[in-house]
Amino acid sequence: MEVRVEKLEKRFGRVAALAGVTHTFPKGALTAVVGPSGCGKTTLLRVLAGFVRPDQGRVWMDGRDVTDFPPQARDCALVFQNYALWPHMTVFDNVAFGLRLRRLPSHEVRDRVREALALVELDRVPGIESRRPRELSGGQQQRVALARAIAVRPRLLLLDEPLSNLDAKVRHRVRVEIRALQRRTGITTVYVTHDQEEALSIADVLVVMEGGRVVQAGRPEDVYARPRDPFVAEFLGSTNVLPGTVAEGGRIQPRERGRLLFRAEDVALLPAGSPPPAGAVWTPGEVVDCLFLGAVYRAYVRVGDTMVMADGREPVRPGQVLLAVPKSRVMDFSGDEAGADLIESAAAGEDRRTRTRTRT
Amino acid sequence: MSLATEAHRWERWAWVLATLPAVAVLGVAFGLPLLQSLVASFVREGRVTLENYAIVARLYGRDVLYTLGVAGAGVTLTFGAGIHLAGYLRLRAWPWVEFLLKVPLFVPFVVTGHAMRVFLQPSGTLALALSAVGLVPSGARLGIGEGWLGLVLALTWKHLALVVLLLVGAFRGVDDSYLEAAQGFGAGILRQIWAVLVPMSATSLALATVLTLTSMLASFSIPLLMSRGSGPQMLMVDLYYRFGQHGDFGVASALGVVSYVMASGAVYAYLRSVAR
Repeated sequence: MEVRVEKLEKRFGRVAALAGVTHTFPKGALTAVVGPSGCGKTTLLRVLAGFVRPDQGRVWMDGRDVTDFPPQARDCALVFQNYALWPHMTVFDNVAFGLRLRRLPSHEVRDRVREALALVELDRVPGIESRRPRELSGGQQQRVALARAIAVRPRLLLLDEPLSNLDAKVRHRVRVEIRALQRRTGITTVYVTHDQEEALSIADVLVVMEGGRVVQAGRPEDVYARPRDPFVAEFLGSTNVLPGTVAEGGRIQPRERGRLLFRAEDVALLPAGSPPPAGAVWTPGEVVDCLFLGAVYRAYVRVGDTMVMADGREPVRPGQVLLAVPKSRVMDFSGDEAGADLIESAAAGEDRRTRTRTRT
Repeated sequence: MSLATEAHRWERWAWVLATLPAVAVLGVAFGLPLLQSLVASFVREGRVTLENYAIVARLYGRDVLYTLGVAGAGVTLTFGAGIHLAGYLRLRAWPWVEFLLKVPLFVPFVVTGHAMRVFLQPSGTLALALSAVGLVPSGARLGIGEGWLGLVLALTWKHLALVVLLLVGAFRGVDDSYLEAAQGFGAGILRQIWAVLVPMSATSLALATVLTLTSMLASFSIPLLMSRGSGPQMLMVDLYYRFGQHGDFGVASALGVVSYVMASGAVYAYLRSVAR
């Protein structure tokens, strides 16, 4: 099912939760909507589900205007952040609830409950059908919630921060399983999360929201590599924001009005006094600390009044360093044509496909 | 002994002192009379005997069943209406309806009894209204107010407000997501009430049932005012006459113990349901 929202607006008192959202959710794709708390992503999901009526704008599902339709008439299912499994019902009764309301014969209800439990790989857990939610782990509850949603074979699956109550390890595993499940079923899915890593890893299409608006949408790789907006650049990845502009020779000049954005993984730390590498912007700095994060070491480098993060494979000792970033990896939102041109001219020889500089 | 332990000990004693007056009043005003009436129910003419209970069985057996029947019917009717009203209020939020439903809370039992007597008596307000619209012949006498049905209606009206108040509170404790999950699958209001709200508020519902049942079992003013003087009576009315008019403290105490046992049965059922 293709879902389109046009100029959606919703206010709660003085707060505009949605301020003119227009977007098309492609058929059969998993769209992750990501943004900070209060950006309107959950409100957007609840508008799609039919639990919130927009003040303005329309919702179209496969070309049909469903803005005024109640939730049950939209052929969609919502997985709630807290799973909302009814605690007094068994797993079977929870999953069968929607099917029984559709007055399916009991043998079909049974078959479809088992099919749904198999899809979420709970069929191998002994006695799962007769257990109550409190007797399940967080991960199992999450899968039951998914099974309950897909048992009614919705054409649109809505997931509201479905992994936020799980610990990190289970979250990573279930994330992969949700992705695989979506691929198997081909249900158009909208996945709301505040976790950028989760959104980047799971989505076919990434939608970044801020202040009730869609700031940028596209393939996760494109949005990450080519942010069109300082907010997106800052929100995705471990992004450094360094006040300043680029002078002749690639040296970063501290200035109040300029802002250079670059990611921690793009920063190279060289011994103090080293010649600046070609095709890089650079500045002296002082390593004040270095933390082991598991996959990488993160050094914290003081540059003027700003602390810059730099990720590397090896630990770095505190002391003076030369901080360098490939010019093609610097995102310049300063609006300073001269500075931007300096970065552009330095990066001209590099592969244009990896360039990320964007003017606002 | 650490400072924390010392502070904890003083805090515990402070709480003991704070609750002491309430416990003392409870002991003097409730515990002691209960013990006295329990003892008195087994004493007749200075002898320890079961004769008081034999008199209760012989003279008031039918009234015990009548009291249980009226209270049972009252609780059923009260909760039949209260669950739906509270459910609708939880799902739809009508502040004015909620306010109106609470009005009976502020009406004393005596006033309720008198109002219901006037309203339901054979040629009372209800009979006049029904004859005015032609539903009953003019001058016809309605018998609702004289029998068990009138009493059940009066007790229901009086208790409905408290039950709705308790249930709305319990239903509001159920997170919206549980209701929206049901609604999303197509559950209507009645289904959301009976499949989600009621089972998820079972403990509060059981407590409200016990409170209502014991209150109806112990109702006195309303049955006394609506009584026609003949036929079965509620036990509290029997107790009042046995003690106040006959001065028979032994049988009155036995009636009290029977009432206490009936109420204890409801409390026992509640505790069992909570423990499960």
